[in-house]
Amino acid sequence: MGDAVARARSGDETGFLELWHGLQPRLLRYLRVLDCDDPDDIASETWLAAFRDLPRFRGGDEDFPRWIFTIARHRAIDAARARSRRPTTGVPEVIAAVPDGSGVEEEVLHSLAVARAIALLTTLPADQAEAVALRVLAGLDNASIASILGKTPGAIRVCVHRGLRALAKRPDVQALAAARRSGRVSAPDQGQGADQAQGNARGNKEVRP
Amino acid sequence: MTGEPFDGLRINDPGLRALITDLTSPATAAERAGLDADLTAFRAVCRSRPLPPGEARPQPRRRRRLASAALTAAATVLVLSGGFAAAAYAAVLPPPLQRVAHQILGFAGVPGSQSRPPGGSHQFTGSRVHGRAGKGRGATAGRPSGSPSPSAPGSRSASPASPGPSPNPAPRHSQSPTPQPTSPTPAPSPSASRSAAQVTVTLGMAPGPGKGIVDLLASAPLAQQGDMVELQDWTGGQWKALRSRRLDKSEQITFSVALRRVSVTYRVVLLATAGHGQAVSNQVVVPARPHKSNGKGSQG
Repeated sequence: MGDAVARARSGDETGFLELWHGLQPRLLRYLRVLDCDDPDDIASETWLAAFRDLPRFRGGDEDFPRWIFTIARHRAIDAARARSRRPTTGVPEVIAAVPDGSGVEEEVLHSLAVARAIALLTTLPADQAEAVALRVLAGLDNASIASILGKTPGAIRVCVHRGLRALAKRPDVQALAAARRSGRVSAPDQGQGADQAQGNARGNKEVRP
Repeated sequence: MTGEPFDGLRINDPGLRALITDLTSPATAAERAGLDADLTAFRAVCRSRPLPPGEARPQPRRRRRLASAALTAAATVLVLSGGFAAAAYAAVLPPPLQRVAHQILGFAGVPGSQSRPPGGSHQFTGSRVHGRAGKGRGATAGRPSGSPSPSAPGSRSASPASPGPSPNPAPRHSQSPTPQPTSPTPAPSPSASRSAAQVTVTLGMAPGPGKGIVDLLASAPLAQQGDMVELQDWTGGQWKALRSRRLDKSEQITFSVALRRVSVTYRVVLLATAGHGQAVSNQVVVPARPHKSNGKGSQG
């Protein structure tokens, strides 16, 4: 992100846009993993709180994801408490406009693939799902996740490992690969997660379902 | 982003790789829908919060232009007000403005239109012939309404110089002592008009012959021997004539005055004659006499 945080702190919109485009999708998916009723609202509240507190934020671009995911988690917890006090009825999700230049089918398949992946992630126990989400989606290291969740880095490491192992054992996860190989499900644009994980892996442990 | 994504876990399972690929895929259209709202919130927050020190907010050109215009206007106002204050302090403003300035800036020592001896330390050039020239008459005839008049009470040269009822309805005591050539004056004689010349008179101060006495030396190089010079002091808000003497052959005259308990401002007035007009000298401030207890001599 370069100096995006510094630019956003000085009111430069390009800094904000860089941060937003880099973090907003993962922030929404993380909030969905937390089973928020309205992830968009909580994400907007998260960004608003981040804007307000940005002058007091002393970290750099590397610290910004941990900071904003911490804010998002607190907002999600607050929303869950409010929801428990005043239950609400959900409304069907409004289909967003498809941007020009992309096919509707591709966009729908992409959205379905993302939704299915999040749904698979939420099948894990809550602590494992959140740890894996912060690890995969936010790209945080174990120490940052531990500070957010109030656990030790070792516990986070074990939690992430168990979560990924459990996911790999699921048949529907294996079906993902089969469907991808057969071409029945179009693969979304390659994110940086799996390839980067593969590239950065040093191979001292291996997940073998 | 921070750290390695999976803490050294090798993702060999294709299903897990596909799952992670889906999770980290680019944003969908629905996920990008909130950009406008968040950008609006970002702009609102940036406008409402102060900038941290050392960081400058990018300003549109129009705002910079307005700021420049405001800066120019502020500088102009500052210069004008400074000039007004300087002029007020020098007491060169017209009397109404001087009074206003005195009311506003009196605490800073700005004099009123009557409280300051006129002329300051400037020399007055007697380029105009006032009244009829002649011995003892030119001093009062045609003297402006605000000018010090020897006929004022206490003036030693009032009696011989008074021309009787003056055509000037203004009060005889000076309230605005700056010489003003606006009062109705008797028409100068043709000879006076012809011989009107600029004369100057200067006043200096030197130690006197005795203790507690100083000499005020009046010099009028362009005047003639025998021209009358009047010594005046600023007392009670007006110039009061103290004594009159004639210039000697070197166009000088010395007035010896005693030091008083308070400092006194003196000046001399070269009375108008047929050859020149009236001239007023610079002002000299004679300091107060020192107290006897300190045993020091007079200052200046």
